[in-house]
Amino acid sequence: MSMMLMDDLFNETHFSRFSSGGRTNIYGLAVVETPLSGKIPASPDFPSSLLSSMPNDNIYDIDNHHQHLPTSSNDNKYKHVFASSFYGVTCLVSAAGYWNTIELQLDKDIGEIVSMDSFYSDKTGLVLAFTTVHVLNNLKNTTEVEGQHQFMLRIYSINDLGSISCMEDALFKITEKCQKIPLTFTPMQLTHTLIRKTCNNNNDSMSELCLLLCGTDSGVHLYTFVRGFEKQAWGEEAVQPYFPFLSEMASLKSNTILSLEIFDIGTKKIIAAGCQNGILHLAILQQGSNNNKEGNYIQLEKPQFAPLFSPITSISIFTTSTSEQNPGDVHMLVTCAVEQVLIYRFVDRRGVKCPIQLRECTQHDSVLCSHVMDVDWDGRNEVLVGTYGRELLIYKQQESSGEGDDDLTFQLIWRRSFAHPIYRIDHLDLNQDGLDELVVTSQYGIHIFQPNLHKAKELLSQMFEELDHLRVNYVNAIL
Amino acid sequence: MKSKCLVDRLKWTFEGNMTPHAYAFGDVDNDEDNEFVIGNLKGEIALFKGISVGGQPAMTCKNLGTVGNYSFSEFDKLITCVAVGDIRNSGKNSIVCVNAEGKCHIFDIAVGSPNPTSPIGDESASPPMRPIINDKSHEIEKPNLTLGVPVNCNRILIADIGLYHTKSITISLSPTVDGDGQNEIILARTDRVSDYATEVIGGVPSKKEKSNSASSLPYLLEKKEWLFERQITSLLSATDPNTGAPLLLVGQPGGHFVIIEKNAKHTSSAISHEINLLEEVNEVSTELVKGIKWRDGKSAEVIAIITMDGLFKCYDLQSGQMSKHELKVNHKLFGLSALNLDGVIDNTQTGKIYTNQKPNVEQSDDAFVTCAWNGSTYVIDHEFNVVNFEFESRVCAFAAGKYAITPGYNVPCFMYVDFEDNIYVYFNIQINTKPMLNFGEVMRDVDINKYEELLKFYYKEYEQEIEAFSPNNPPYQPTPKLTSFFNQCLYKLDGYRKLKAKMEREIQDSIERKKVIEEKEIAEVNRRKEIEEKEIVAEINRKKEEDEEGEQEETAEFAQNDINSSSTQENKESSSSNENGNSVDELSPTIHNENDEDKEEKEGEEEEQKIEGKEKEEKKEEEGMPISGDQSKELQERRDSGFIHSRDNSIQMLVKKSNNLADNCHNKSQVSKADQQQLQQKTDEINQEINGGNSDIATVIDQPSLSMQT
Repeated sequence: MSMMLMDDLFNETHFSRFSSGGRTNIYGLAVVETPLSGKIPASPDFPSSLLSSMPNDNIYDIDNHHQHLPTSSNDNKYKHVFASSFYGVTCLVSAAGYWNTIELQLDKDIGEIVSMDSFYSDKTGLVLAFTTVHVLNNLKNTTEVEGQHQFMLRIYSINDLGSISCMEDALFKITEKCQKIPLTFTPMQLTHTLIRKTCNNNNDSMSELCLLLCGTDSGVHLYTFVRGFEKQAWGEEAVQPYFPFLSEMASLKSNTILSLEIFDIGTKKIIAAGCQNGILHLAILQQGSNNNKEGNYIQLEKPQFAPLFSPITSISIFTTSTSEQNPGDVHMLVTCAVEQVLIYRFVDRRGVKCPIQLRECTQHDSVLCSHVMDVDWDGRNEVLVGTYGRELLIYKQQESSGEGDDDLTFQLIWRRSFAHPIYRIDHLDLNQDGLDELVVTSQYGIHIFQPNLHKAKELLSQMFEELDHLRVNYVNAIL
Repeated sequence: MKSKCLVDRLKWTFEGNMTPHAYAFGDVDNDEDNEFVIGNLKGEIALFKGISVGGQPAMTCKNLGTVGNYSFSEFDKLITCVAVGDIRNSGKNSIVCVNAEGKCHIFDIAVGSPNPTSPIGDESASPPMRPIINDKSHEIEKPNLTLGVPVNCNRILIADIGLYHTKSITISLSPTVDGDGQNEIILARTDRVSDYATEVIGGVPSKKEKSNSASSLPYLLEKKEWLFERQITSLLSATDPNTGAPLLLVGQPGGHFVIIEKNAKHTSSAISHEINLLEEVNEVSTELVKGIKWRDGKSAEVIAIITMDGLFKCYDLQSGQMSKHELKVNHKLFGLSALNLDGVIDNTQTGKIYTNQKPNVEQSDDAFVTCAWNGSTYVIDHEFNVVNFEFESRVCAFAAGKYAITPGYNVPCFMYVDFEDNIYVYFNIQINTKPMLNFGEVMRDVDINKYEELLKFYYKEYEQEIEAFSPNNPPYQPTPKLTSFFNQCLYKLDGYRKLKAKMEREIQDSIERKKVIEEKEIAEVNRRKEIEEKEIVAEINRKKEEDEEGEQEETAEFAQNDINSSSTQENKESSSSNENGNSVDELSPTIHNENDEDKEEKEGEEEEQKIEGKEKEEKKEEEGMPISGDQSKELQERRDSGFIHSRDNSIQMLVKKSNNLADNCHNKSQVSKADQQQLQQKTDEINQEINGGNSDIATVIDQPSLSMQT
């Protein structure tokens, strides 16, 4: 541990390089939460070992038997991470104290992966979806140098996890079943969100997850999982009933949406869309009081927009505090390809009227990604920004004594250079040790950063002292 | 195996390919900052110092091979090996490079002679923040000294192997020749004609100037020669840990090596390790380095041996123990170095240089670094933990060593020479070879038993997991419940705060509960007291009834009423309702009796009230309050009649009784001292009420009595 600098927030634990020189992009990382944990024992070569198949049944059964019983309660949730490179998907499966790396066994002819998303819900099961581009070589017309591009949405899923014993098992089996939906446009960001859907039989509405796909046809496409009597499949549905704002954008042929963020806070829903031409669109919806059928949300005022004069690469809407009960103010972080990062403060109240720029981000080429997490366990969210100029920057909220909205500023507290451009940032507890690892994808692989374990220990010891003190008081009080 | 991605690097330019051993790290100009020297196949060497902004060397020297076109082959020019060391035994380092045709060139670089241009950046900044910057390359005409050595030397070592004084050779270049610690130059030769010819090691003692001969040219005096049957793949000097005598180690193909002790005459007398002549000859090249390992506060030299095909061995000179580890590699390994990776981290970008936080920096073990032709680099520690770094290009030569990017800080650097005339210098190498730790393992350091009570308090599965968590059970075992507790504390401050709030609330609750219980107890005691008091009163009344007749009746009645109204506050209601003649809740049958009596004696009430009014007046007088003339007159009358005295007596009797009652309570409940005190207090209160309560009641009844008077 001597290499660990005490004032460091994160230390790189491991770099997992994509095999065969694959590269990732800004849509190539997804964290999924499932009831399944990784269970295949760690290889002695961890963390660089690659799990290529399920171990033979005997070992696996023993292990399964041994580990399944105590964790049978269903409230356990485990996060895992997927990263796509051009021709493959690397999964890091979290397990107790380690993780397993699996490369998905995909068809050879899928082409290049453009964007990816993954989620789990009781209704849909484990879903791994990605969009691909395949270059069709027209053999008849050999004079045509450029082949035709064929775009496809591929949805892999396991609907019933009942027979699946562990996450590794799920990943080896998920590629068996694939639904292919041809696309007539170039796909961009693929994401998912919760919608309220009316049941056919009665007028009750219930929440369910749907896939949202942005495309060059300036529209957002919505796919839902339909569980019919005979078959169950994903199908496209009109966006309008759920997101009138997005369908309006499409009808205006505004521009390709590069990044889409839908954020729920209390009774509000904030939808932000960043376009290739640099226009940032923002709509704030308020949950209707009555349980009306359609969407249940009412647009508060006219959608707002702001011209940023540069393709918008990412949007993160976040709250001041990590507390769910008292989230505090809501802000929106917007990153641009032309070297700027803006934070629209109090976006729920003030829309796009109160932006502030993160100065240092202008010095590192295009800003490609952003993320929000509490890096120092103080209950407040920090802002993370990754650039093509190979720099990761972390900002902390600073509130001066004043009451005005302008008193909220962001201060650079940490930075780290990378060897390659940074495409995406996320976090999860990859080794199930209680601390969240920072996951950063740069051009050729996945970087895993552990937070400063010693700082965490110090803090936790303090908390224990505090709690123990309380406990003693408690005990004294009842005696 | 962990994998790392190194970030900070410099790119230098140096043309031409090179042999994998034609480089050296060292303080060439004796300014205590390490430089890097490299030689190529074209007979050129280059010296790099500091950052070298333009990527150009600080100094170069060309034509170190045969001048002109006389050279039989292009390869005669090639620099086969380079070393930096105190070859002149003058206390100052020189560059020594040897070419294939038997020339050994020596360069003496004066301090500051590469003359780095003044550092850029803020002049006011402290010197460590200003890296050495070279943007001009200085070409040296020729070496300071060129000596003839045997041809086909491919390894060089400058070290004190104790040969210097073995012969009585007289004059040296350096004036201070006496004593030990004089360096020799050891060269290894290879016969390129046939691999199976016997190779020669030129055991060449340190260079002498032959001043006593006609020729004033210095030359190297050959002191010793050892013959080996197989290729010499590596040269290394070490110290015998037992005797402190110098040792020379010679690498042999197939992962073998030979240790030559001081004064050993020839190979036969050398300690030979692992050379089994019957073993099939394995010509896999072997490299040797020595690394420091700390044991009980003492440093020891450990010999690391690596073969091209990935067999890594550590040989402990002290114990003679050999440990092995197989690296799974697809490409041939070379460039083995030992390097202390714990140290200064030079982050000139942010203007910060971090020194190691560990107080005993010196006591950290060296790690071993080696590289494959495809750029895969392996950092291996003494426990065979491996960290991998992929350099993204094919590698012509690899070197790991300490180099001064910034003046005053020799930091670990990896140098990759590619096939495109570039040298990539990686610095800020933050590689921790220890296996990945998870937070649970770190938390095991915390004395968790200190919080045993706390953990028991919060989560019931404590017992199960704490066993696994104990540092006495070394292999890490997952403790999911404990882990989620950690997580909750750190990330779900909501939860943590809730937990705290819950605690606080529970503490508050329990305090209140306790209070309620106490109050209940008190109330219970009081109730019992009341009942008993009433019983007593009833008894008294009955007695009085029996004893007193006619005019005496008034007094008894009075006494009874007095008790009723004054026993306790709570009883007031009942007593007042008694006065009103209404039946109250059934505290006890005696009360009913009283009520009945009340009804019977209602007729006398008026007078009774009057008396009470008088009583109040009497009290007022006692308390020193002014009494009106009429009242005092009346009072006087009453006193005269002896009526008041008798009444006072009855009250005194009652007080006595109630005290007895309190004593009874003590005995009955047998409570603690505190409670006794409390009860005593209560009793006192009751007594007070009995005494003072009269006035309360009196005020209530005062009004009608007064109205009557008027």
